[in-house]
Amino acid sequence: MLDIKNLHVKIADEDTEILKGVNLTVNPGEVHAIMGPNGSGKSTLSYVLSGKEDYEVTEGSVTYDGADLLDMEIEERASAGLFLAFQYPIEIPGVPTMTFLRTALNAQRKARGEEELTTPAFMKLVKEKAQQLKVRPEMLKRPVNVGFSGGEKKRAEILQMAVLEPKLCVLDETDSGLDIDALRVVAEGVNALRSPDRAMIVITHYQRLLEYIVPDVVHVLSNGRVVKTGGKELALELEANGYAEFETEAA
Amino acid sequence: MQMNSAVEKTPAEAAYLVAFDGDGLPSGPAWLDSQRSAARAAFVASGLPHRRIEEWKYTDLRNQLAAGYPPLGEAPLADVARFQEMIAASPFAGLDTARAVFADGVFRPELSNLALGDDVDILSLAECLDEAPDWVTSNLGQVMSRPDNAIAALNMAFARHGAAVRVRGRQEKPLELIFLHTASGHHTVTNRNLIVVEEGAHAHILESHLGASGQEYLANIVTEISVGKSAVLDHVKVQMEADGAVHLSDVNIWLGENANANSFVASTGASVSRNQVFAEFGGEHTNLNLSGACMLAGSQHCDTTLEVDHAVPHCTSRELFKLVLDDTSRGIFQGKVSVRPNAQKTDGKQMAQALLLAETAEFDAKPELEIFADDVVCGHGATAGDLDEEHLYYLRARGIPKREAMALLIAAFIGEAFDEVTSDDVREALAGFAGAWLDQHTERG
Ligand SMILES: Nc1ncnc2c1ncn2[C@@H]1O[C@H](COP(=O)(O)OP(=O)(O)OP(=O)(O)O)[C@@H](O)[C@H]1O
Ligand SMILES: [Mg+2]
Repeated sequence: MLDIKNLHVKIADEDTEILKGVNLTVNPGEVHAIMGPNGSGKSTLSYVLSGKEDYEVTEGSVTYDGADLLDMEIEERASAGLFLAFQYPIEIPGVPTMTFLRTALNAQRKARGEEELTTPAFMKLVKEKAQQLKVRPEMLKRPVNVGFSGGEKKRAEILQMAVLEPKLCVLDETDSGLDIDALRVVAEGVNALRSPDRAMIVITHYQRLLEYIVPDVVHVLSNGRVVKTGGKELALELEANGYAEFETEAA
Repeated sequence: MQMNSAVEKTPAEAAYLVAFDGDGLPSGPAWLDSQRSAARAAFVASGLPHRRIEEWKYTDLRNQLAAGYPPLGEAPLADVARFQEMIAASPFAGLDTARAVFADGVFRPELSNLALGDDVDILSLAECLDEAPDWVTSNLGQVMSRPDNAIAALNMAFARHGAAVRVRGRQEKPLELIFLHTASGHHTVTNRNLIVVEEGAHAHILESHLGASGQEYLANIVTEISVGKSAVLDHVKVQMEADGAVHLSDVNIWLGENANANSFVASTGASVSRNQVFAEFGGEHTNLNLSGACMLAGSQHCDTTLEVDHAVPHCTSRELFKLVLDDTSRGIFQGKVSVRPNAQKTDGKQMAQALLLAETAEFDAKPELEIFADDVVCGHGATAGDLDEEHLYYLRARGIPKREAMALLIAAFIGEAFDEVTSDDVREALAGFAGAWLDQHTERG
């Protein structure tokens, strides 16, 4: 489903290289966890997948569903089923959440040649998903993320994901900022989306999330490279020993 | 005012001077004739305003009016179907309103619907002048704090047609004043409106200015609004003149004690437009809210010039103007707030914000505070910026195409000005109006 080969990335206006040859293959149905020290390039990788323009790919390739992902516009990637739950979701004053969600869903459906959803059908869908994720209806009345607490923003990201039903979900530290109950609710929401033709990349610092969303593969990203790949037990190891081992390698 | 007879007359000035000597001038009754001739004399002395006059620094009419715009003689023959089509394009067409329609300046009863109960008098100014009621004779030309300005002087010089409205109770539905322009050739259409809101009454006035595409007229429109003691005014104007038209507007608001006035203007039309609003507080504990939005593209030029005179204590004024500027368009905001020495406890705030969609677009802001009292809270600000890249990225990352994402963000920006409008229905109509502009605009882009 996703094939990242020797990906080198730098910040568009600078020379600093952030990703220094990342290799990663994700098959349908799989859940991959990416762990790694602060500043190792995890968010950068997720941004590059989503098409953020602040970064420049200097080498390597990313194939998504057989297509050259790096050649696609940001919105094309989303319509093709790529979803990034942001580490720091931003607020967009003046754009009502419901308008935003409906516009996004219908734009994606239109791009895929599917029929747009009627307003009642859309309302029903959002209400249902919001209830499952314990997102208060009052939050949906506000502009996108405006005035949401840190945890509420993360939950709102997962609500968007549940409504848009993407094929490849990239969760960038969705667990940080969530209280214990919210973590469970969000994990349930994510698990509800697990299916044989969907894949997930879960970026996290904590083993705890991976108890709920059990990964098939765990990678360690350090200093812009995947330095170790293993099964779910790797996460436990990291929890116990930290990243010291890899940091020496990188240096 | 400086005599500028030594300066060569521009074609526009010359055309007006010729008209002053012609026989098509409005005449009668005597009380109005004296105001008209004083106005003509004022224009003869001053000519068109130009950039060396401080208030006209950014809108140089001497330069910008390249042709003569003689007053339109006979209104063209009726084409009711065409007019009705234009009326249907008004952003307020879907609302339940009473209507007074002026086509090429002239009141058209067959297009109008004046049924608005006993508490509202709606008169065609031209038809009521010979036996004008007291509320017309005592107010027309009197609710003007700056009668000497060029737009007002030219308007009075040709004043004859327009609406005279008196509201004595609570209006059950809005009254829409519709100004249609269909005549071809360069010409001036002059309209003058008087709105008198009596003590304790609540007026709800909508204005739409609609032009047939391709026409190159100059619309000169002066509206005098007197808001009596404890009265409320809701006033919303939409300017959708033809692309090649000139729209010169002068709105004058006088507020009595305890009055509340809310006046909003949205502009998308005309090649050159100027909206002047002069407001004067005549009584204490009075609130004034002026707001507006303009959306411009191509080489459009829209100037909003406000003067708020806090002449008495304990009054509040709020101004919020939003401009969306693309291509080489130019938006201008001049806002002057004066607080006189005795006007203690004045609370005045002003903000103008421009969203520049192109590097070649220009926003000029000139806020002015003239404060002579010490116990006041006043502030002003002006900002200009482009669309937030992070916002755009977030929306696109959810699958919203760039153009649509831009439209959402522009609507959000402009929507803050619409929020100042009190009626839900009217606000919704304005959102539709902005949406239509954005659709058309983003398609084109
Ligand atoms: N737009 C940018 N401008 C400057 N530096 C950047 C930019 N984006 C990323 N970086 C730098 O690149 C490095 C990787 O950042 P990134 O956000 O990808 O790390 P991360 O692995 O997600 O860290 P964390 O665990 O703290 O979220 C950091 O040193 C960061 O400062
Ligand atoms: Mg990160």
